[in-house]
Order: sequence, then C-alpha cells, then structure tokens
Amino acid sequence: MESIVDLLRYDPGQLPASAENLRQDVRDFLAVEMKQYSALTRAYTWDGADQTFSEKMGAKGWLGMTLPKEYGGAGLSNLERYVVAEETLFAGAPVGYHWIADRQSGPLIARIGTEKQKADLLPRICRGETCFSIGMSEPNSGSDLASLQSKAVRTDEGWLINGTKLWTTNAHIASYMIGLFRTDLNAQPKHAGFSQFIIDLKNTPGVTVRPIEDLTGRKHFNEVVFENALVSDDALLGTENDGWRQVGSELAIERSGPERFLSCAVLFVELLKVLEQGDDQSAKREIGSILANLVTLRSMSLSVSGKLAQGDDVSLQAVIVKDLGAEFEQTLPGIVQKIVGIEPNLSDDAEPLAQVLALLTMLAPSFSLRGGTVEILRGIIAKRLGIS
Amino acid sequence: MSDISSMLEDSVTRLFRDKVDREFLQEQEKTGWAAQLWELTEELGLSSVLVKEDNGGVGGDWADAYEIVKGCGRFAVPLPLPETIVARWLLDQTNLVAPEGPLTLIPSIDGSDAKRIPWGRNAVAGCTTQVTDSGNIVRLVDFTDVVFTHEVNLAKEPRDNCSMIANLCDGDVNVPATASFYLGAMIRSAQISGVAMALLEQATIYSGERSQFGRNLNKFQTVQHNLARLATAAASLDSISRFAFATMDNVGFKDDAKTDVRFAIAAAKSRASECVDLICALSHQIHGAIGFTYEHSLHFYSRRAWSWRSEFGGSSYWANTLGDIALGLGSEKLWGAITALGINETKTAN
Repeated sequence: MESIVDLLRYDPGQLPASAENLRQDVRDFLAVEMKQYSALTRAYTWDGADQTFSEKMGAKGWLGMTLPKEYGGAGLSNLERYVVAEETLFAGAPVGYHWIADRQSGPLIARIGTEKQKADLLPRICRGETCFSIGMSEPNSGSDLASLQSKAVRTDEGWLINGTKLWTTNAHIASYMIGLFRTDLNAQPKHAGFSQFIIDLKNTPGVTVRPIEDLTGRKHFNEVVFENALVSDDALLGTENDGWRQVGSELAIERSGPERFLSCAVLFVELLKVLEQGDDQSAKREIGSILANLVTLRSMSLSVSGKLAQGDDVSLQAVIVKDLGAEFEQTLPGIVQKIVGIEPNLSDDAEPLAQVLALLTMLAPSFSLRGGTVEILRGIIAKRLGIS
Repeated sequence: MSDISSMLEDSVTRLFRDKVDREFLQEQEKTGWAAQLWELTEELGLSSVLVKEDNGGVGGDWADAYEIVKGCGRFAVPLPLPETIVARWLLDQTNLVAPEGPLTLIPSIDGSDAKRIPWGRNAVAGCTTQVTDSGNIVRLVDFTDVVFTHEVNLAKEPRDNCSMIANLCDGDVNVPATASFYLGAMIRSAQISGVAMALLEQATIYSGERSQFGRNLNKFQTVQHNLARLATAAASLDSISRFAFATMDNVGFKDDAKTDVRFAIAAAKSRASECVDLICALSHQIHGAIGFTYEHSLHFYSRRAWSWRSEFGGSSYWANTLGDIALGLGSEKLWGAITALGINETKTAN
C-alpha cells in the first residue's frame, strides 16, 4: 500500500499555455453575456439553468470539450474543460442546463457507451441542447446507495423498470436520466447486480416526474416514479451488472471540480464590491482568510485535475477536495454575515449583497449533502488511509 | 515530480527517519547542537539545493527544496536547514560569497538590534534583505564575534537576540526588500505541512494499537472521522505550501506583491498558521493522556507547530496581508490574479 504521504500528495497542477488563451476568450464572452443577469441570478451558479445560454456555450465549442471530435467534441484534455468550468462558475453563469451532461454524462457515454448511444447523444451534449440528470438516491436509500430497490427486469421487448428515484436534480427539465437500477435481485455482495440505463424522460410511458420544492421555494430537484416503464435494449449503458463500478469511475471528476469551492464565489465578489468602497480595516483579515482558503482549494482542485488528465487514480484526493470545499462554501455565508452585519433579504429592492447572502444562506445546507454527505466522505477518507 | 525531487525526498526521508527519533530529540534538547546530523545533511548537499551548479550547488529548483523543508518538519529536524537553504539562495543572487556552515535568516533588524534569530548561536552568519538608497540588498552578518542572548521557542529551538550587529557586508540584489521575511514564512508553512503529516502518521499508528472497550480506537467512527479531518488538513497544507514553492519557480518575485509569489506565500502561511490549532488538537485528542507526556514523542511536533505558526508572521498578519492584496486588486481584478498564479511562465513562453 502507498504511504500516507504519497496518498495525500498534491502536485501543483499546471495549465497549458493554450488553456490561457482559451480563458481570455471565455472571459470576453462572459463579459457580454453576463450583463443581463442580476447578482441574485448569478448566485445560483450551477444550480441555475438556462438552455439558451448553454446553446451559446455549445456554439462556442466549450461543451463536451474532452469528447472525441467525431462526436462534436474538441478532443482536448480535462484541463481545458477546467478553465471553462471555473470561469463560468466564478462569473455566476447559469450553467445548470449543461453542467451534468458536460461534466460526467458525456464523458461516461464516450467511455462505455455503444456506438449508437455516442452518435445519438454526444453531439447534442456538445451543442448544449440536452440536459441530463442522474438517478441515484431513492426514498429509502440516501447515503446507503447499495440498498437501492428500483429495478430493471429484462423482457422480450426490452427492460421493464419499476421504482422511485428521489432528489434527482433537473429531472423536470432534463431529456435524459442516467439511472442506477438493480438488475440482479440475488446478487451478493449487495453492491453487485446494478446496471446503468439512459432513460428518455420525455418519451417513455410510465415515467412521472414530480418537482419537489426546496426550502427556498424553488423547484430544481424531483421525485421520478417508474411504473412499468419499458425501455429498449439500447438503453443499457455499459455492462449489465457492472453499474456500481461504472458509477464509481465518474466520482473523481464529480467531486474535485471547481464547483466544489466556487458555489459562493458571487457572494465573495459582492462582499468585495461593498468593502472596497469603504475603509473597514477590521474586515481585511476576514477577507484574507477567505481568500487563503479559496486559493488553497483551487490549488488542490487543479492538482487533481492535472492528475486526472494524466490518467492517475485520484479518487482519494478528489474526496478530500469535496470535503474541504463543502466546509468552506458552507461557512462562507455566516462569515459574510459577521463581517457586514446586514440582514439577508430576498426582496427585489434589497442590496445585491443582502439578496445573495439570503439565497446562499438557505442553499448552504445542501453543499455538504450533494455529491456525497460529509459523513460518507470522511468514512471513505479513513478507509482509503487504511484506518478502520 | 522531477528526478531531483524524487531523489531528494528519498534521501531526506531515509536520513531523518534513521537518525531523528524520539531518543535523539530528547538528547538534543539537553545538549543543544546536533553537529553530526548537520554534517550528514552537508554530505548530501542539502543546504545547497538551490545554489547553481556552477557555484558548487545542486542546481535544483524550489519544488525540490520543498521536499527537504517539508521533511525537516515531518521529522522535527533540529537544524536550521530550511533557513540555510534560503540564505544560500539569497546569497547566490548576489556577488557575495556564502560562508561554509549553517546560516540563518534574521527576521528583522532594528538599528543594531536583532531579535529571535533562529539558531543564532549555532549559525556562522545570518542573512536578511533590506532596502537602501541605492536599491535592495542582501545583508550578510558574520556571527563570529556576535554575543547572543539565548532564547528559545516552545520546542526549545534557539531563537536568539543580539545587539551590535557590526561585521557585515551587503550585496545588490533584484528581489524585494521583504524577500527574506516572505521566504522565511514560506519555509515555515512547508515545515508545518510536514508536521501535519507527522501528527497524522502518529495518530494513525496509535489508534491502530490502542484498544479500549474491547476494540482498537480506529474502529470507532468518531475517531475515524477525526483522523479523516486531520488528513484533509494535512492534504490542504501540502497542496498550498507546494503551490507556493512552485510559484517561486514559475513566477518568482516581480514588481507587484499582488500578482507575484508573495500572494501565494501569504496564502500558504496564513492557512498553515491557521490550521495549527486544528491539527495539534486532533492528534493530541486521539493520543489521549499519553500524548501529553514528555516521554511520548508527539510534543516534538506539536510544540514546533505552535511556535512556527507565529514565526515570520502569524495567521492574522498574513490574513491581513492577503486582505490588502484582495482589496488592492478589487473585485474586478482579483480573480485574474488568482488564476494567473497557476501559470508556468517559462512554459508559456515556449
């Protein structure tokens, strides 16, 4: 086994020169596009979805950048995608419509999909036309994913799916769900016997999507019920009963990206805008402390991205980024509240900082839930370090 | 990782793991200077890692130096090796000849007084950077005839005071007047990152050996989560310290503290200093009462961390410095400065 020192090593990630030219192009694009969005709208970042915006990104060639050229991608490395991702997040662009497809569904399909799936789906992902959702959690399976009950049964006509997925982000606007379903009811151990399916949410009879209001009053996650929903053999993604491992392979990139520490970037910027107009010496230290955290997390995230581009196994380093990033994002609204002492206020005529603070204060609890709860992450870290 | 880095990490780890154990550290705290260990590091050329090959050094870069400096923290090495590495680099930027033997960095000089000089009594000379009317200089102070008032930090490492700084020579240099202070902060952040690793390693081993309620401590979920938190802190300190050293290679000192390596150093030392409470508290908590005894080795690491976090500026100082950088750049330019820090300018030029 590798030593702890090697496992926790974060070599600095270097972005290639070409990525910096790309960065400038993205900034120029955003300088124009972002004018139409208020600070409050920008504060949603990857929780905000706007198909028109995603299609513009697609037209620029900035979606599915790591996908092969023959399917509409750019055949670039994960580092170029990283630059586009962090620029759009920092600006608070409404990237939610393409985020999941661009980050993980596209790359997953490219890696293990059939020729038909690739030819059909990847070009649409690259154009920003298609929103994907991920069906994992269920009413009785949150963190305990291996206890999933929804199942897909092979029939003469295809796969018959029954069960309920819960907390499925964007299912109400998505064309597709990549869902994890039990295909071998007798498999041992418990996490064996799952398969992934690409399900057409709009055109499959027996699929019902019910939006769930979150505590801010907004609808972005859903309950998706499958009642004898029949999908064709083509819907199977990858290998039958290999779903658990396939899902695991998506996680490093899902957990280590810039979205794990930039969810509150708009809040930080709005705070700076207020403070740079005054002369509040006491706020300086807090600002510096936030910035030190931000720069540290970026160095970690970029390090993981560099190693991913080299094809290294970075699952542990990625989990650590997610854990620390969530803690940072989650505490930021409270710190801002302490610095400026304003009341969070969502009303239209409130100051932008008060609006953004209000929204992110309420969204913050989700930061340590989505993508793996902090308890699960710490369990994984301990296990990977050989502790347990 | 470069070949030099990998080779250095291996030899540093081997040397210090072999020589610097609990008995050695206990003995050294009583007797003072670890002359033999110093000679062994000199045989490996460690203090000259950054000196150009033409000048008799190893010709390594700051990323290589990081492995040594981190190792000095991880093994609680009681030597001014990090200070000497920086001093030799500073002197290598001038026309001054570096003396043989251990060197140190002088945190500040007030008239003819200098306080809290690391390893002052053991060093042959000390360095600092200063501003003069004709430009910035590296000031080299010969310690041969200097009388030190002995003080120590919490880990009993010498932190000596002296007055009558007289025997000195200056060399012109193209780095900021604050460079020696910044580089002092940078090595301390790397040493703290090394200590964090040691605190984690010790806690991991101990929790796998100690049994209570019929099972090893590491079978308790609370303990596992504390170890995971300790590991994430250690990981983050490795990342940001390594990043600061790499930025020294990639960007270095330029005209503007807001956009050169000083930004990265301020972030590294601010984080490192701020994390000391957490890493020490977690490791001590996991060790229980035995870790609070002098007999156990844990305190050789925690006592160093508790002092190092204040040396060359504590978390407040560096957070304030970063706050100045952030407000100086303003909301419009800050992000651009953050992303520019990751760029290897030499590579970009190719």
